Amino acid sequence: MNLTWFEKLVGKENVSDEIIDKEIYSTDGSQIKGRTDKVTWVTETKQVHQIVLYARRIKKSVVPRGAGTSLVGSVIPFDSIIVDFTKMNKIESIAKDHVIVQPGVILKDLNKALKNKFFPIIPENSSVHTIGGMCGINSSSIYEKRFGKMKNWVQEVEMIDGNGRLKKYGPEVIGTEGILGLITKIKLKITDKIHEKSMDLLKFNKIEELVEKVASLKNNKEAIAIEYINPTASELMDLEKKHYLIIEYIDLEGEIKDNKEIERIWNIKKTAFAKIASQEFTIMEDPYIPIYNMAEFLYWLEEKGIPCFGPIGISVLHPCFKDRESIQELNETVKKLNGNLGAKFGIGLLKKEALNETTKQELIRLKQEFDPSKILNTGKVI
Amino acid sequence: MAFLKSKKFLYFPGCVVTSVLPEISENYELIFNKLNLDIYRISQNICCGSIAHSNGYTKDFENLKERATEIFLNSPIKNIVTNSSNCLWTLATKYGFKVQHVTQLLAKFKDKLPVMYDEEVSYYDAPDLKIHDAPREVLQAIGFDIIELEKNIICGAEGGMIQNVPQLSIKLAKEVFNMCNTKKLIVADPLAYYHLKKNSPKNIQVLELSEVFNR
Amino acid sequence: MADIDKCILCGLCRQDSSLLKITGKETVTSRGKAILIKKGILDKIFFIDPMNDITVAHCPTNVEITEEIRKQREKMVEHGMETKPNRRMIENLRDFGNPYGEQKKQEIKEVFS
Repeated sequence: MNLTWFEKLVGKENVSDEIIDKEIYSTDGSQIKGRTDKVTWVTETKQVHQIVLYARRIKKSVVPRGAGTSLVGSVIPFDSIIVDFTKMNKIESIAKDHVIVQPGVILKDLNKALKNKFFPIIPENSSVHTIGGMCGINSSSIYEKRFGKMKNWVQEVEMIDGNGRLKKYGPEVIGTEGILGLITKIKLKITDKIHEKSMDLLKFNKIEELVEKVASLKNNKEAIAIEYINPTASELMDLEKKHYLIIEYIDLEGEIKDNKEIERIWNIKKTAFAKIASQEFTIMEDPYIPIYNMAEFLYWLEEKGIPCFGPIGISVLHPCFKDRESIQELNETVKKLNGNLGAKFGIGLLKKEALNETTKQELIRLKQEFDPSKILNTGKVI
Repeated sequence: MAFLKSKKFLYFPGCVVTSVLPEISENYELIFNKLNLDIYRISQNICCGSIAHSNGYTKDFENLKERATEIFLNSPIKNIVTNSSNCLWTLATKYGFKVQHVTQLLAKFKDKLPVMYDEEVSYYDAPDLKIHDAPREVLQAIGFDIIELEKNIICGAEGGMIQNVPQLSIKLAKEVFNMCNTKKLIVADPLAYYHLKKNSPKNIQVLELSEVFNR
Repeated sequence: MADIDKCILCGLCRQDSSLLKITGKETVTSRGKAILIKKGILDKIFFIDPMNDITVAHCPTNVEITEEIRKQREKMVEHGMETKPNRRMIENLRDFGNPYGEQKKQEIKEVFS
C-alpha cells in the first residue's frame, strides 16, 4: 500500500510500516497475535475520515485503537491498518453539565480537568483507559451500581462509519467495539463531585451471610460500590484469609469516614490483580452471576481454589486463572447458574459465545447498514 | 585533588561533576568545610562504569569496576559520598560499597545549617536518585517552603537519551517545567541539573542544591 | 520462566510514561519493548529508554524491564548496533578512563548518560 499517501495525510512521523511498530501493534492485552499492515497515529477527524474512505476503496481492514488494554482481543489486527487515537486527546470544551472530548483523552486526565464536577464511569485503571476505548466496550465503573455504564453518560458521538459517512449518533452505538464506525468526538454528561463519603470494610466466614449482606444493599442507593475479595485472593494479597466486602457510600452511614483511610483501602483493593497475577493467575474473566445463585458460585470458586475479586454489587466477578484451558469449566458453571460471560470486558474475539442471538442478529443487520464492505474492526464481536 | 584534614568521607562526585560541572564539587567542598567534615578525594581519574553498564558495554564495565575497586579499597576512607544517582546505586549495588548521596550527608547536619531563605521553591526528584526525604530536609532546614511537583517524571537526560535522542530529551525536560509553579527549581542530581538548566524557560531558575548555599 | 515472559501485555505501564505522552506511540512504552524482546527483535528503540523503573511501578507481575532492556543493549553492542554517540562515549572511556576524555569543561559539547 502507498505509504506516501499516508505520509501526506498524517505526516511522515505519524505513519509506519516498520517491523517494530507492526509487531508491537499486532497484539493487545489479550496476548493474541494478529498481523498489522501499517500503523497510523491520527490527530484530527479529517485524517480518520480520509483513512476510512481510502481503506474502503482498497478493501483494507481498519482497527481503531486506544490504550490497547483489551483482554478479549478487541483491537487485534488482521492485516489491518491500525488507527491509534492516543494523540487525538484534546478536551475540546467543558460546560456546566457536559464535556466534549476527543477519543484519546484518558479518563483520569478528564476528571482532573473537571475540578468540581466529575465523570463517574471510572474503570479499575482510569490512568490508562481512553474515552474512545471506554465507548467501544460500553465500559463499566467501580460505581456502576449507582451511575451505570458508559452508555448512560454519552449524549452524542461523532462517528465515521464504514461507508465513510461522518454523522452524529446517540448512545446507541456505544458498546459496538468499532465494528460500526470510528468515533472521533464524544459529548459526555458530567455530574457533581462526591464530597461526602464513607466506607464499610466487612469480613465474613460464611458465604451465605456475605451474599445476604450484598442482597440487602441492592436497593440502598447510597451504597455506590460493593467490591468482593475471596479468601484465595485475600491470601495472595497478604491479607487475613477471609471473604471481604468493601462498601462505599455517598453519605456517612459507613463506619469509616476518614477519606485517607478510604483511599488506603481502595488502594489495597486496586492491587488485587497485581498480587494475583504475580502468582501466575494472569488471565482474568468477567462473568455475571445472578444474586440468587451467587452463593453457589462462591462455593465453587473456593472448592477449586480460584482467586476472585470484583464488583459483586452488580453481580460481576473476576475469577483469575493460570491458563485458558481452565476457563472451560468456568464457562460451563456460569451457564449452569444462569449467568453470562463477557459482562465487563467486551466481546472482541474471545467472548463471541456470550452474545445472545437477538443482539447478534441486530448487530449483523447494523453491520450491513454501517459497514457493508466489512472493513471496520474485522472479525470482532459477530 | 588534595585531601583535606583527616579522612572521614571519600567524596566521589562522578564524571558529570568532575568533567562538566566542576563548580558543583567546589560548592560542596566549601559546604563540607564549613561543617567541619573531613573529606578525602581520590587522586586518580576513575569512572564507576555505570554509564558503560547501562548502555550495554558489559565487558568495559567489568574492566572499569576492577580498576575502580582496587583504587577504592586502597583508599584510607571507606565511607563514600557522591553527587551522582548512577554512581550512588552502582557503587552500592554492583560494588557492594557503603555509599550515601551528598544530600543524605547534609541532612545529618540539618540542625547546623543556617536559615537563609523564606521562599517557595520546587524540588525535582531525579527518578534515578530514589532519595525522597534528605534533600527536602536540607532545603527546609535553610528556610525553603517546598511546593511539590505533581508527580515524579523523567527529565529526558536519563538512559542515554540526552545523547541519542536530543530533541526528544528536550521535549521531556519541558514536561518537568510544565509542572513547576515556582520561580526556582532545585535539583540534586548533576545530570538532571545540567539538562534542566540547559532547557529551562526564562521564568524558572534551575539551581543545583549546593548553589542555594552561595548566598 | 524468563523474566520477560512474565509480561502479560496488560498495558498498565502506559501510566505516567512521559515518553508515551510526548510521542503518543506504544512503541516507546515498556510493553512495546517487552513485545520486541519476546520476539528477539533488536532495534535502536532500546536506546530510547530512561532505564529506570517509573512505569514499572505499575507492573502487576514485576517484570524487571530495565534489566531486560539493558540486556538488549548488550546484544546490540555485540552485533555492532550501538549508537554513534555511545561509540564516542565508550572510546573516551577506553582511551582515557572518562566518558569525556581529556576535554576541559568549556570544550565539552556533548554530555552522556
